[in-house]
Amino acid sequence: MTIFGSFEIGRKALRAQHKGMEVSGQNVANANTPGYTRQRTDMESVVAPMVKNPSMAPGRGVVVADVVRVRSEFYHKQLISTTSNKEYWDTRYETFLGAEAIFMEPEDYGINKYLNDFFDSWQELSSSPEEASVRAGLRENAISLTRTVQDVYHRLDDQIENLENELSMIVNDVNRISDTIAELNEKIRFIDTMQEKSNELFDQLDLAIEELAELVNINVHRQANGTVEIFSGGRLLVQEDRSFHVSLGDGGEKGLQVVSSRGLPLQLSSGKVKGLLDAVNEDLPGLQNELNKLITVLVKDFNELHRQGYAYDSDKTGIDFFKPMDNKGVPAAMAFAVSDAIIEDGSNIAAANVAFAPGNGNNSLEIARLRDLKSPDRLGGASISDYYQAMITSMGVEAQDSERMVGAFEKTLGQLQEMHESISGVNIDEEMLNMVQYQHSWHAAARYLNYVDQMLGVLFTELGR
Amino acid sequence: MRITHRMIANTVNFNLQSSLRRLEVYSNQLSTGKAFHKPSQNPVGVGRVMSYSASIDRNEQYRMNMNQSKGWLENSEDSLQNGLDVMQRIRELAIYGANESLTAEDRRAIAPEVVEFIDHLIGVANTESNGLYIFGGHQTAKEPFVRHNVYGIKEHYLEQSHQGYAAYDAGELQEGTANREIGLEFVVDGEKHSVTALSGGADTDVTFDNIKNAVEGHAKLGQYFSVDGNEDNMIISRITPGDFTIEAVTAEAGTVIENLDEDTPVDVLSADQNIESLSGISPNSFLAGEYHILTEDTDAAYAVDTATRHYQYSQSGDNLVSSVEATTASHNQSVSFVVTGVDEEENEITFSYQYKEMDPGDGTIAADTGTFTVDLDNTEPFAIDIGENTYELTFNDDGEFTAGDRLVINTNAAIDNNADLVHLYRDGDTPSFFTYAFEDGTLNAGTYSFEFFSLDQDSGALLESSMDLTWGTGAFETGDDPDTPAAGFLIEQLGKGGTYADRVEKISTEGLQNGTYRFEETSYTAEDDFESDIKVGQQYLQGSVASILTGSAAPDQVQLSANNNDRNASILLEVRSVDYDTGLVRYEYTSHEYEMDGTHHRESGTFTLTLGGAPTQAVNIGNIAVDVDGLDNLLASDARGLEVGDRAVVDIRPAMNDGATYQRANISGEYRGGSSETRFIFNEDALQGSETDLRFFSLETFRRSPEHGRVYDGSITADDDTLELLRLPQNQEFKYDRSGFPVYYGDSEDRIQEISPHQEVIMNLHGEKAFGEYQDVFEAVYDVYWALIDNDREALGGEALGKMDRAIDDLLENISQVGARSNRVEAMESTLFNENIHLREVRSNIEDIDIALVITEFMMQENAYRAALSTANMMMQPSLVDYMR
Repeated sequence: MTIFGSFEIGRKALRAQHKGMEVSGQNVANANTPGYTRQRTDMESVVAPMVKNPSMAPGRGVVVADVVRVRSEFYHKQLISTTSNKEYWDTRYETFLGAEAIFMEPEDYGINKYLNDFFDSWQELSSSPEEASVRAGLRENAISLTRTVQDVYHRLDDQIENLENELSMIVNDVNRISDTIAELNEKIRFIDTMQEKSNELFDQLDLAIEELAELVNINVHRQANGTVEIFSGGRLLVQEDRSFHVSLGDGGEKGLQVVSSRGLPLQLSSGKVKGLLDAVNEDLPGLQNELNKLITVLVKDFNELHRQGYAYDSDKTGIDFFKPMDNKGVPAAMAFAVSDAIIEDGSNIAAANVAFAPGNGNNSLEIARLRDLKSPDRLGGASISDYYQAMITSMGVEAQDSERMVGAFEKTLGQLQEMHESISGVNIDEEMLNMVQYQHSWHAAARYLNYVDQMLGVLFTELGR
Repeated sequence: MRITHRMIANTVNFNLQSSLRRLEVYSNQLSTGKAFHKPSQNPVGVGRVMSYSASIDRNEQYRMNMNQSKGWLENSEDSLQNGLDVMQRIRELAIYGANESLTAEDRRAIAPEVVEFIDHLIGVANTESNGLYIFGGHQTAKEPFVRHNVYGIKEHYLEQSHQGYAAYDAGELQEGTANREIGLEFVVDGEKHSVTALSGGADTDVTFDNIKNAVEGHAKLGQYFSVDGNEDNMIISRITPGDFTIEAVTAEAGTVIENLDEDTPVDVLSADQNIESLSGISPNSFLAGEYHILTEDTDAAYAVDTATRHYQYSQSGDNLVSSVEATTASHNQSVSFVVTGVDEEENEITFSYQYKEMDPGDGTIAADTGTFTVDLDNTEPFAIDIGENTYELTFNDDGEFTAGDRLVINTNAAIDNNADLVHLYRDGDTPSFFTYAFEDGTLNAGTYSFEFFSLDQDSGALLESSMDLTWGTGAFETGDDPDTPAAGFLIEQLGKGGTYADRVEKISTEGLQNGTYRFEETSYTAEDDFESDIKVGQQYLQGSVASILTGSAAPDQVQLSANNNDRNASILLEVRSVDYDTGLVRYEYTSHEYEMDGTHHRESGTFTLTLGGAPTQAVNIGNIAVDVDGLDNLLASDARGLEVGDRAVVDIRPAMNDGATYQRANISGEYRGGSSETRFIFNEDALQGSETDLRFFSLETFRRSPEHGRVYDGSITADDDTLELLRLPQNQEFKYDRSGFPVYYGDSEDRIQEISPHQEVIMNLHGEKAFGEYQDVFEAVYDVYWALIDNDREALGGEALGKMDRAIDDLLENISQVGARSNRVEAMESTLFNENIHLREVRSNIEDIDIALVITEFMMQENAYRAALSTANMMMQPSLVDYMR
């Protein structure tokens, strides 16, 4: 090696240490950037060419082999699937929270309260069939009950509609993120063809994938050139620079579903979209169905008994208390209303079980006893109150389960994020130490060049005299 | 593990978040006091809280029910206690009245005090609680006990005043000519009015119209007025055209003045003295209805007279005959001619005739038929012998004759001076349409059978009727005694002994009353078409105020007729609903039916009639097809209108038209206020044999009890025609006037209330339970009253007192029963109260927080939060950067 070769060692050292300093600077600068992955400067010594006596050849200096992103693909995958699950349960929890707010139990404005008042009114009427005020009170309680039931049902409808709107916006988000990922794939592939790479593009890609995982559960396949293929629910979303848009479709009996560009449904298992689909397809309509079932039985039972009774001090009979259900499209809970005859005249309430008996409240008593009526051929053997209470309880259990699941997944996610941060996060102290090291190495390399220069000066000045 | 600063920040953040979340939960719990307020916070807890709240609410409702039950029961108890006190006072009066030393006047003097107590007692029976009548069963909206008197004056009747007409007592007033000046003075609302010129003196006409006009505009129904300056107050009762009833009462409503003294101007208006009873004879057809028989002694020879008594019908509208003359008439006779054929070529017509006649000497009845032919070219009167009479008929040669044209001639035999006449006329009609004349002295004591027939004006159908009249042993006398009417028969009025009257009582079936009954059995042979058309419609309005079905022809009344009926029946009809918009009136009926062989049926049901619709409507009452006539008149302006609750009793006899022999059982009763008679007709076989059990029934309008009527058992021996005395099953004799006796309008329903899910309590005592099924309490009191009035010391110390004691025992039992119920409710109430305390405790355990615990937790959490904050502060501060200069 010539003496000028010694200069080369110094030059390489200066450049490598500078690069190291730059990477540390980048790390410190992005210490708080979301999605940023810590980078590490990998240096290696340059091997000397083969000479006669290798032991005499110290090598030819240092070179920066690579700047790598320090991350774990395993944790990232875990992170993605946990994110999907957490979002799914979060959405469900919110759904049930909304439903709870609608039913307003066990506060004083819920259906249970009005149901109790209603039954109590029949009791009261049975003991005071002559009093017009008791009849009016009963009628008002009945109207309150019907209005409350209608209101609850209506608000469930509203909630379903709101969630459907949200769903269609979120499906657009899925497509937007797919587009982003496809663009990033294209850029990465392009840089890759130039034998280059951009750690920042990979960070963006990971970020987009995480965002997508919040919405739908996905499978990510990494290609050798750093691009990804993304599947969701068995359908391809992104491949190379192409994204495949999904849309909302009507799955008939299954309700709404998300379908691929070819019209095939995505078999979603988690994610926000799945949570919303469950809410609009099953959970909320399920509550509505229960309510309908309850009201249908209530109306049928009441009318059956009421029709047997007689209006106040007359022989009028066969009067319906509630408007009879015609089962024509309108849900029972929405058609739930007090009959016109009762609205017009409280004396049409059939408290008596014989005609022309103003003091007879026997039929009213029979009706009041519907409260505890249990029959195996209706409401699964439960009384009306019991059935409603069981319905509220099971709604509460669902909400509670969802809340627990959210908690569990949040915890897991936290741990995974911590592991991820532990590996890929920037530790400023560490970077400071690195910078001190690079500074010292750079100083030493400069000093080395100084010495080599002095050595060369000796040759030029002393020998030439 | 490698630690980064962001991890520290995240951890700090996470810990602060969870600390805050717990703090929020605790603060929420502390501010509401509840451990949860959403189902998801404790699903099972919420379900249980809802269920417990429902139980608590319901128990509260039960407690309200109990309070009401207690109110009713205590009210009932107080009222009955009150009634008991009164009963004991009356009992004391009865015992005092039984004192031997008292005179009849002394006893009578006690009676008014009893009356006071009766008033009080009825007030007790009509106790109201919160506007509801507690002793009415389920009928709580109207007074359960309403006093009626036999004259139909009833408070609610007075309210629904129709028109202000006046009336007073002494029987029925006929239009006619007064022989004295008649004036009215009456008081309306404290102001006196007088009308002096009702009739201007002797021989002035008194008509209904001028009486009505006089009073109209001044008086209203139910108001008091006095007549002709007399201070006695009169109550205005009612006037309907043709049936003018005047009732005299003292100022105390409902008490009939039985013996008006001679100076009382009411006498001025009594029929026999002032107003000619009968005038003219018009040919009326038979109609269903009540008939009066009026017997009369004439002091003039009664010449043969047919002129005003024939009735003819021709389809062409012409008269068949221009004159009818009976040249000899030794028999009473009714003849009907029917044109059977017309020969226009020969100008001849053929008649068939049938007749019935009666020998005025001995009352023998004969009947026959025949035909004859008339040559119309012969303008001479056509002479014909029919039975014992000979007629001269002048046929109208201008007329057109058609088969079916009819002529009826009713003829009285020519009779010597002082003949006796029997008239038959229908209630409400101008009397009379048929008269039988008898020779003087032939109407001796005994039973006479009168048969009448005539043609129906509209249909031409032959109508027949018969009537039995029994004269007492006193025989007919002309009265020299100035106190007896100038004309009259001695008629035995059952139970009252012989007395003079101007005519026989109405023949009507007024329903069996409590009392002693006589039984009479007669054997009959039915003649052709005998009773083929059943005369029904005997009305019975006792206790009711508006007639719903009557036999008279007044515009607001209808009549019933049964067609081809083969049953005896007594039917109670009651108006259950009236809709004047549609004109629909719904009746409910209950009836006893007896077949001709004595088989008994009980029927009940409803039917609906349309007012103002078809004049005749057919309905089925039990197994009897009935035509109801005159419905088109019911909405006429004069109609009083129907009211729910109006009732009538109709008794029906079967048709007997096959010439067979029948037997008839009559039952006639005696009780204060009139007599009644019910007849039953049976197949001959039915009453054969040594002894036959029969039940006699008539329905009462009084009560609504399930059995409505009363049935009296008795037996007869068919071949023994002596009279038997039937006694009531209870062996009771009711002597008092039913006037003022309270009638129960409630029902016998229990008012049931639920006081816990499996417990019921009866919160009322209905009137029949509280005061006896037959108002025994009142009957006992009335017995005392009448015993006092009748000076019946024995009854006061014995029977009446015994009844009082039984009634008092019953009251005591009722009081203790009500008290026991009240106690039970109270016991239940405390049980329920405890249960609710328990339930609230359990609910509180579930939903309420333990405040101390939560505050402790809250404090601990707050400390943890503070610690986390300061740790973060210490951790985030130092970094290597600070130490590198």
